[in-house]
Amino acid sequence: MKDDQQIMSELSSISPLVADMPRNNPFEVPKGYFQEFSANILFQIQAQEIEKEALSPFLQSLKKENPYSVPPDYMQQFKVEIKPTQGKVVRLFNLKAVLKYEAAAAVIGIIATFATLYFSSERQGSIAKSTEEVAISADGYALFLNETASIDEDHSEEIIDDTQSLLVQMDANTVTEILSEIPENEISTYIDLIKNEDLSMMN
Amino acid sequence: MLNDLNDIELVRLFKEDKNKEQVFTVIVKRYQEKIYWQIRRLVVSHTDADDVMQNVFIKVWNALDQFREDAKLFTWLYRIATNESLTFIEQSKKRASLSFDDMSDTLVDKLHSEKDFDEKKAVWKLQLAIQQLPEKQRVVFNLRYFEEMPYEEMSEILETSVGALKASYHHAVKKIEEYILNH
Repeated sequence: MKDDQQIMSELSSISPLVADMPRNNPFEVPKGYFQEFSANILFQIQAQEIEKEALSPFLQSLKKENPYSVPPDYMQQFKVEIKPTQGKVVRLFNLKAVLKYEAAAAVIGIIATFATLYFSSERQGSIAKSTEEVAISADGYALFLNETASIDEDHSEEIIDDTQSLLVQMDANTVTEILSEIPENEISTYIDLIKNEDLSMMN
Repeated sequence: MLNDLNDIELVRLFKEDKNKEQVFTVIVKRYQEKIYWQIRRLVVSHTDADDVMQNVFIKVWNALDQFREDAKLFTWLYRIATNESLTFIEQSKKRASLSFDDMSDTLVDKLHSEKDFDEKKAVWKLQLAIQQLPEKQRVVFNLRYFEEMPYEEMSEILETSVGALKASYHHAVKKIEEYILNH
């Protein structure tokens, strides 16, 4: 495939739109430009050369003379000797690095130990304090119980006294007199009521 | 008779100081148009292209004695022309930045001031699209699209890998397509 065909097919594959664009050159060049260009450029070059010579004819004459000399056959014998270089050896186990880490670990260990000891002693102190509090409160509690017990005893005595004060000493004649005043049917109703209550309680 | 000689023979004659000016004239006439269009597409205006052309061939005259024959003369000339064009654009950019203008606008303005410019016409629209491209892509697109240059030769001129040039060309074509579709 020719180059131009290859370029065209490449362009069509990328963009058929651009491939279909007209390729004619829209720019214009002044008439006779290319015919005159070589003469114009030579004229400029000659002017440049004249200027250089006028500026310093001596330097211009020396321009192409090389004052340096090279040993005979230097260029023919010139070789670049490249020595096989050994790659930098890197130790897998670097003692210095390990020592650094060891020192750091030791410092951290010491700090951790002291910190643990310090905090644990503080904690023990606080536990002791709390047990003291518990002990005090236990004593207080015991005292409280004793006091309460004594209060209960006094109170129960009072209650007993109150119940005793409610009891009325009556003899059998008085009771018979009182009962004789209550009609018999009321007494039998009362007895039945009590019997029923007892039965319901038993059930 | 000198016209029949190939590039290597012409360069050898130039180095031997034999008919130097005549040899140089043959070289200029052989490549001036190709070099001119490469420059013109980059700098747009004829006046700027002429300035760059003169710089290029004065450099060629001064450096042809040191030209190594292992490279192609044509490739060497193209490299000088491209570098000189880009240097010219760079210098213009610096001047434009001092006067708060944008160089891409300046190039577009130069296109607008071209004789027969008509932005509705496809050829001019394509030129406007090319001016939107980054410099490197513009150079690659011009060499490939207008000069139909193989990537290998382009690689020698621009000292860039073939793969990178292909990628640049692909991106340039896509950007041009996008511009044409949107304008």
